[in-house]
Amino acid sequence: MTTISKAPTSDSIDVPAWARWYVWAFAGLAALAVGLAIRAATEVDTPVENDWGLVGVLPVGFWVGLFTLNVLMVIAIRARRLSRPLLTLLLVSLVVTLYGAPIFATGTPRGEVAWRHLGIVGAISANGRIDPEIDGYFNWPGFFAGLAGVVESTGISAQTIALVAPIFNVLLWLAATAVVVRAFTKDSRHLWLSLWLFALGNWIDQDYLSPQAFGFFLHVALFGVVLTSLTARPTLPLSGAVSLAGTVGGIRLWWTSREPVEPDAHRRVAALIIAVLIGVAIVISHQLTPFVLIVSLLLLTLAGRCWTPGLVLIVGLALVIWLETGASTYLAGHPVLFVNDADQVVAANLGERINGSDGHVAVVAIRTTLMMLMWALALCGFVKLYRRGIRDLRPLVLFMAPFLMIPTQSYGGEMVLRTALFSLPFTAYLMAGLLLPGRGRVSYPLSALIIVVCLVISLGTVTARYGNARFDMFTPAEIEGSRELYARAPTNALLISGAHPTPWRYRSYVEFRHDTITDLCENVPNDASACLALIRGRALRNPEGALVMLNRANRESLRMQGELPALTFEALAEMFAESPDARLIYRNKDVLIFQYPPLAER
Amino acid sequence: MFRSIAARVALADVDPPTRAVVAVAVGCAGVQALQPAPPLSIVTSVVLLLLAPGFVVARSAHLDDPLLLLVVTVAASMALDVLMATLLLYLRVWSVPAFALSMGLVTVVAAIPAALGAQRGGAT
Repeated sequence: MTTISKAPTSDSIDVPAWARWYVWAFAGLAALAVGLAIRAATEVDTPVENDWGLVGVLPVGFWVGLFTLNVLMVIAIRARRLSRPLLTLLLVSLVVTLYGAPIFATGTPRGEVAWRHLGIVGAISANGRIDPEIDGYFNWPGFFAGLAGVVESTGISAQTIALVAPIFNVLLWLAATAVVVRAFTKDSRHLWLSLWLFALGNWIDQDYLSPQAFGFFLHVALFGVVLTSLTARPTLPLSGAVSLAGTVGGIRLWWTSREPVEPDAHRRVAALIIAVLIGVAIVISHQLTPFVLIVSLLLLTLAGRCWTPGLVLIVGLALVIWLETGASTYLAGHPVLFVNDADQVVAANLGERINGSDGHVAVVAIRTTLMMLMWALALCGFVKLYRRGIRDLRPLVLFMAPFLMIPTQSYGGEMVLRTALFSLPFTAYLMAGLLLPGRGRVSYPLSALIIVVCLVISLGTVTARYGNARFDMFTPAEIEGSRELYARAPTNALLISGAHPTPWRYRSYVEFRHDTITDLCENVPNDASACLALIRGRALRNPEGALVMLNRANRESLRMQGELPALTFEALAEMFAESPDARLIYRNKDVLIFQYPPLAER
Repeated sequence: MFRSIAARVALADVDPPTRAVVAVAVGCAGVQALQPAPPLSIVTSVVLLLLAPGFVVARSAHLDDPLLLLVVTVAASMALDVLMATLLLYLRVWSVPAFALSMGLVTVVAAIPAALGAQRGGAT
């Protein structure tokens, strides 16, 4: 593979432009746009009464703010002299607007999983040890251990950290992505547009307080090191080497012709140590990220662009050691890698997600379309850059590497989504390469086109990202209901929720067994009586009884996603109310809690 | 020889920014071990958990680009937090003071290669 980098340069960036009048004017407009968008977001009431999610209820002020930011960014990139402070301000404004909208709307963390992660941190802090028998999280405990340290050291509540995590994580991701993109191009416009497209196109919604968000930052940061201090450059094209010395000899000749870009061996060793350090932290923190890391490193090494092949071996060895030690309990019952056939993979990642209400189906279709559109633009971008003489294969290799994981890991049906995330820095870089001209200023028609593309992606991302807002943005009544659940539950009681979108498990993670009706009644989805019998049997077998919580988010999730017919859910609520074994112990406008009393009280 | 060892322990050959960060980290570890209340705990934790250890590690690679230095500083600090917290939990010696002191120690230890490099190469 021949890799000749001819990235265009921008000499104008070094001229200070912060004092120019337009910088101040744009900064003022950006502040106004963010203010307008935030104010509009605070007007959104929960529950979100729309199957399209937030996109259906956000006031016009939000869209005006988002539109203004996009226009300002494109005009700022057109400027003869780019202003770093202005571009940074615009980027931060976009992140606050796009990722802060639900924060300003509700003031509470979104999605069940973020709440669950608080419970894991609490369990680790309270117990002061890692018990791998609890569940899979405790077999990859690194992130939670570090977070427990941060929560206890700072004194900031874990819930506050979870609330702001999306903004914090995306800012970290952008900083790491900036390092990576700068390894590919010296064109400042290309850099800033890539970062803008990254922030706009991150609809995947994995930036909440989670090990994968943490692992993704470390992953991109590691590639920041690899693509700068540990990068290599073959001095011979592979085709030329093969024609000179035959296939085997040519490959050997090409391989040995590689030169390190960093000439100082001590610096390379230090960079390698840093990469290993980050790699090991990834290995102990998340189940999936190390595999993507290893595949990406391997492809980069095979492309002749990583100077130290040992890095992939060391990270691979660390992964094997961890799987055999720290994660061995989990792996005893769950294979970490499992190969599905193509039909299973498609069904798990796409087919099974296209069910439910019309609005939900439309949102899923928009997610798929947006993802395909961005990938198509990225591939066209690579072709355009290649034709312009920028024959750097590294962005393409790193863009493609996560796709190799799709057939080998179904990962609960989320692997395509994870692929979209891991390829996003490179997708954004290649898309920016498609949209920008090779040299000269961005023309007015092209600027208009870039604005249109940015607006389409903005609209698509708000729709795709917040499409589940009806059930993943919880109401104060639902959160109060969960508090009551824990306050009223006897120790060791079985806790049952209607379905997965429930703000629970944020405390007493280990003390209670948690289950959902959707999981318990998986085999009798249309039979409320059979489902009730299953729950009743489970509750009465437990000496401490059970508490069953049904909330609005459960009902909406079941209706929108078509998991369990809503009629069954409503029927269940009525049957609990009429059951002689269960009694209603709490209700508010969004929550019902029934109790099957402990054995001693029956 | 004794003087040489003492000089290494005192990180006398390390460049001034690294030495200053190590000193601040040790100070923050000491304060953090006393479990102060916010906002002091937030300031000392940010220095000790997000900046200092990673900065010292990043300096050892002589990263010239300020953005790369910043990203590696934060990433390496977080990586060290995770590794140290996990180790303490597996050893069942987890506590906030132990975590703070161990991160201070990690920062000092991370500066030693820089000190050795400086003695070998004459500058860091």
